[in-house]
Amino acid sequence: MSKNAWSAALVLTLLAATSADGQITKGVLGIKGAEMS
Amino acid sequence: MAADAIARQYDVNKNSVKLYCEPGKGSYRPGTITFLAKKGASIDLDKIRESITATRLSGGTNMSVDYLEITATGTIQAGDKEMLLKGKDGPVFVLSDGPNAKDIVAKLRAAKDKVTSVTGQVQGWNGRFPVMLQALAKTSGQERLHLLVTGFETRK
Repeated sequence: MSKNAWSAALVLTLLAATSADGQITKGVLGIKGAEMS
Repeated sequence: MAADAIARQYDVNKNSVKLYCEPGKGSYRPGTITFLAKKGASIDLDKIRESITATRLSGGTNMSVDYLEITATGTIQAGDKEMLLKGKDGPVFVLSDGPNAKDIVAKLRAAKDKVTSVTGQVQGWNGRFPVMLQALAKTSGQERLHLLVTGFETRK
């Protein structure tokens, strides 16, 4: 799997990881090995 | 762009997820992924860990996390020894000064009644993906998480 695909998978998992009744409204993940073109 | 493809395929607002990679030619350049909870929802850190662990990022990769910075709402509780951020649900955040944010917890304490949100880096979210995920798994479900505060918002 390319790093691009890894990045996409990571974004998808972040999108899927929302749930109700919490308090965290925003996140920024700082990574090394981004290659997201 | 991966974000465009994801937005088309999953009918999400592509502006809610922003990917940034520093320009250059190296294989392991820094980048950020910014994401927002859906309206009325919250981001569950344990679910993020579980989801990432289910990908190949839990295996042999040198890709790493520098930090996970979150913005959280809730009520500030100022004790003698520690400052807490408590929401309706989810973990309680124990607040301490973040990198390059000296004395910010003292400023937070002074403004505690007007604070609407706190931004900071979640302790434990750094290192090479497989190593970090294993370490986080051992501490999953914790009711208290340490947040290294980098900023906060107040109502006027």
